[in-house]
Amino acid sequence: MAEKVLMKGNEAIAEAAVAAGCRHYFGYPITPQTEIAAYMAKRMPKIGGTFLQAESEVAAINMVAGAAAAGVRTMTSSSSPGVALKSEGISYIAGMDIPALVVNIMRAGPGLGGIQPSQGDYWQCVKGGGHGDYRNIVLAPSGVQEMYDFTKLAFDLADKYRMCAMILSDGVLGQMMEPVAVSASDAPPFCADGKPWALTGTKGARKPNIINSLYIEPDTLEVLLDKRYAEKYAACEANEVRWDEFLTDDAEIVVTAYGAPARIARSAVTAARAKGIKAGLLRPITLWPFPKVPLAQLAETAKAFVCVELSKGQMIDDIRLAIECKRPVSLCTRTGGNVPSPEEILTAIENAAKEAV
Amino acid sequence: MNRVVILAGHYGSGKTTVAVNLACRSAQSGKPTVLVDLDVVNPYFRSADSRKALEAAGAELVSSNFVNSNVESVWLPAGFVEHLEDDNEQVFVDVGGDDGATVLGRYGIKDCDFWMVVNPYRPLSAEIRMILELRKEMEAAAGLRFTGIVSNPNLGRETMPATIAAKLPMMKALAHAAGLPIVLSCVPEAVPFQAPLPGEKLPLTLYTKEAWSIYG
Repeated sequence: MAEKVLMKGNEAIAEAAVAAGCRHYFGYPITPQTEIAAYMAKRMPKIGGTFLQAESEVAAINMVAGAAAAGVRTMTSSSSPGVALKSEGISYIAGMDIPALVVNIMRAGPGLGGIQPSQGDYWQCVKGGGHGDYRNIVLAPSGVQEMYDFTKLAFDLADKYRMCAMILSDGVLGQMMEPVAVSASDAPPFCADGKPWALTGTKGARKPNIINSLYIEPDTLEVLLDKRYAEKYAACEANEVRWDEFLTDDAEIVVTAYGAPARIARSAVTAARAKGIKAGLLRPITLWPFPKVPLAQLAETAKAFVCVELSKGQMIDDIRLAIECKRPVSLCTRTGGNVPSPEEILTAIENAAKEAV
Repeated sequence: MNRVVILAGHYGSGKTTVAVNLACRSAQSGKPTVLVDLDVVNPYFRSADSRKALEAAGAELVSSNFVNSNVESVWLPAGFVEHLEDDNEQVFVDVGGDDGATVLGRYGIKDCDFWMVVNPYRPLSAEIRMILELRKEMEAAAGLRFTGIVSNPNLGRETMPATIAAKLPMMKALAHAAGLPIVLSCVPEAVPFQAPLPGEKLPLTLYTKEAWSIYG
């Protein structure tokens, strides 16, 4: 029986990682995700784990790559500018086909930007961020319970597909406190037994495993990339798309939002219904793979879409692609660290309803 | 209650909410009241966010000029020492979580109430031994001995009377083990809790309501 505790979103991520058997955390402090590192610093030494504050974000992600290659469950976390620094390592992790978890608690950018919540890293995280052709599984929680649940899920998906999984969240969710049902006890450290590819030492009994991202011969690299896309990434797109819908059955105006803004959008949808507007909410949970099919289905009956995001129009591209521009999509955004009020989103819904008539 | 009351505790134990409520209550009773924000740990969710409520109640907020400004760092506020020396004022001090109490060492405060705010629903202060360990760390950091416990068991907006009742035996056992009195028992305003409580009952008004909390 799960017991309820009161946690910050950041703490929920750290505690979920422990419950998922992660015993290797490498990070570097940055607001608004520092509680993840602070929590791990307290927790890891008590359970025989490793907490290491690296000399930089670049060092931390490469430590993650090393630990992942050895087959253990490992993670790092940061906020926007720090994740930009980690991008090189994330690309190498993709190139080496090893599983890891990277958490981004987004703050406003570009540059140092601000320390208040944002979703300005959608393109950075969902479209890759680092160099080369690759994909990350990107999960977007919308509450503290989901910060906990999706962290465990992210470790499972990373291991299943030997990929980098990301939690893409924001300063609101990282800092807010909510009750969370947590597993009763810590799972044992995750072991590498189920990972025959891992660098665990041959003990003279098998051929050495090689983990590498360097392929000089074009044909070899092309075959590898084709296989990665045809098998691994295609399987993710077939099996791992997740989303949530609210009052969409008869919706004429479909609001899309992920993360903290989805909570506000939900209030706005309820308010719109009270005013007689048939509004609904589709909340992508996986940002990659993106819920293209349910959006395309809604486009058959809806009159217009409203995309709510804490960025200057990033996810809106994926909405338009998913519905093949069959319906108008308007943008409702606040940036700089601000979040829209329910009233602002309601106004955007009302405007979309007026124009759609 | 001493003229100077310092509130410390584990991250997220409710220090700021308790401090803002105590300051508003004191000011409303007509006492010149000051709330000092000494949180140098967390730039999010600070007592400065309750400035309007404090001003409406007639309490003065002493907070770093840099809070909610363009400096991504938190600083000690100027003017705290003069309030410590003003015998006419009731002063409440909101200290950052855990070793955030280190800042108190700089002031060498002798005569004060130093209260530990405890929410046993927080995972790292869920057991008596954990709280006693935190107590030791905070006392060493602050150079002060706690004089009382503020009992604040809650699950945020999901707090029910049973949520509070379930943790009262533990809070009493903690007080016994720590050799400290429970000075205040917090109950969120909206929670209809009628049973007797250890210490004085402090109804908590939640002054900050955020757009994202209006959910489902």
